[in-house]
Amino acid sequence: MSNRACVLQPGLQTTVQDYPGRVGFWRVGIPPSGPMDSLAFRLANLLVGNPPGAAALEMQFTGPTLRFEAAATVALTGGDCGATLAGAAVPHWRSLDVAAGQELRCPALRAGARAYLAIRGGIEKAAVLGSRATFPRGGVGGEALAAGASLGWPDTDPPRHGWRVAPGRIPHYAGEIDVAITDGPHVDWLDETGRATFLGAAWKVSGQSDRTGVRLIGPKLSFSRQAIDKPPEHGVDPSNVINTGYPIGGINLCGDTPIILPFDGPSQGGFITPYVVASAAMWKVGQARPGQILRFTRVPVDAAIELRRALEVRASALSLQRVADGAVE
Amino acid sequence: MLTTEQIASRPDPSTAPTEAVDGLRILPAGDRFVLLELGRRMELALNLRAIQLADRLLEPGEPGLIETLPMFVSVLVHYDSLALPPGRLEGLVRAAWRELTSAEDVTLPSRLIELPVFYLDPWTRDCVAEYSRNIRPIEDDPAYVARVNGLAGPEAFVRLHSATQHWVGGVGFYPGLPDMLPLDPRCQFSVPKYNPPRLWTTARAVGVGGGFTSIYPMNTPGGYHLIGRTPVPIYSLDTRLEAFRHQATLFRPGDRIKFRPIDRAEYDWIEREVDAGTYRYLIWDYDLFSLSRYRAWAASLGAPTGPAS
Repeated sequence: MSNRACVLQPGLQTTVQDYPGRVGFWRVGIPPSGPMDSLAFRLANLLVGNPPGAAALEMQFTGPTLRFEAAATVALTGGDCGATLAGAAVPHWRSLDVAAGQELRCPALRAGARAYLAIRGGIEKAAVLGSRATFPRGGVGGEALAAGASLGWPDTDPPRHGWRVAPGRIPHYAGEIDVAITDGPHVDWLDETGRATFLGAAWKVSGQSDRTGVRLIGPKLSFSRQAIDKPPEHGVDPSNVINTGYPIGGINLCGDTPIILPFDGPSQGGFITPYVVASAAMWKVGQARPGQILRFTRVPVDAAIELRRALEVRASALSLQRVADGAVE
Repeated sequence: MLTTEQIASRPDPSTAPTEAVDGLRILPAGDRFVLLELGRRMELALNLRAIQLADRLLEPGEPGLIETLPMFVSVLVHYDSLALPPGRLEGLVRAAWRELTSAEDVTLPSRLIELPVFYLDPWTRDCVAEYSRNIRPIEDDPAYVARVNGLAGPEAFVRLHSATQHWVGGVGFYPGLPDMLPLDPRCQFSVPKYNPPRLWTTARAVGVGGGFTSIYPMNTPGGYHLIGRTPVPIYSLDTRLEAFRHQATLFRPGDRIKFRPIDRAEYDWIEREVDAGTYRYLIWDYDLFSLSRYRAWAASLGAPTGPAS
């Protein structure tokens, strides 16, 4: 019997992703895609004994209902989606055994914006441009899952039983989110007041946010002379600049609206980038719900690199323990 | 969410004067990117330098240097800061820049690509008509573009637009989308962009905005005026097509595009070839573009050289 799960309900936007995604095509405008929260994603894979970047599911706000036609070992991480297996509640952040014929429901996230489901062996999907990640906006790597679709995975060695993420290593997604940022290429296009306003404000995540951009609602920012008194080819608005490449995680200022550009964002455009989210903090942005508050802490580039080094450790097997063992922290 | 404001803001270079190439600025862009700014004026010389620098940085195969993205006057560098410390990257950039700027002329390999275009086609006319009905009443795009450029009518604009090679200054925003400027100073134009932008655009539509021409790789929102449609994809995952066997996008920065006007019968014929996977793109890849020779030629025309010089 083949390893197969049927998608009974697709959820709001459930996509197959891998990590780090489709890297190397930014020059021609194809984004890397991949998980919005790479920390939870990698831990889900490690829990079932997959390589951390293996193809797995990302669900957004409302997850899918899957009927497993074959036994599997799976793990759920990320926002708590109130999952049930054959009608009984199941925990996140640990490996789970699913029997053939059982239904896994992931109804709605109570906190966070995204949850992840890894299946031991990794989800089978043809690679496009070297990756199994899905870029729904551009139709690269297919679309979000639809009802009636089916997921397959290869045969593997017998599963390793009973792994979980150490309780002290499980992130919390509720409340205000502190996000480390560094200066961006156009930080000096804001004046001193504008920079202080940006760094001091409580920024609310807009409902108009998705994998291509996370829009922020907050105070109006003020600009420096070079944003106002500039050669005409930069455009009329103070936030306009001659089209330039956008860093992933860049906080783009679009008129008065800051937009964080995540892994499905545009590669270039005519807006300034005063700040850039530290790569180690992007998973927090990926879990921010509409209405939730983000506060930014400015750090030097060296500190952002150290944060990334620490995240690589946190997203590794060092964060796992056997369920029977005591907590490590 | 990526919105239409992003398109509406694309800058208008048509009023840009020129100035000498100035210094390189290495600007911070987080812990995985730096932005190399070559100047703050729109000029062809800086774009050539940006493309050269973007390519040169990749040549040694430096571990940790992931990719580079040249745009009009800047290069975005994507690197792995755990493998390549920022200080070392800065040294590589400065060395490459010194080497490039020591050359007297700026020369660049530049492909010439012929692209068939059905100007004034029925599909983009429908797209404009729908905007006019639902969003804001406007005159048809080709008529408007001709009028604001002091031309007799749409056909006159088609002649102007198809008489020049168009320089691809940058690619991106959407997959494979080119930003092109006319190289022949006699064929320059300028047109305001849509306000508000369109909610959708015919896939493979050719549009003009500011002094630029662009092609919509797929159905997306848009702010450029639509003047025609090409039957051939500029972005495709169909590897049966020779042009997409090794990459998913057709254009590269530094390409020159010549639009060849076609009629409905030829459009349909080419479309069938594309569908069958047998269409062969016309691409000539043996020219070196020389800035000094281009400038001398443009000056010999006796007309003002304008923004593309």
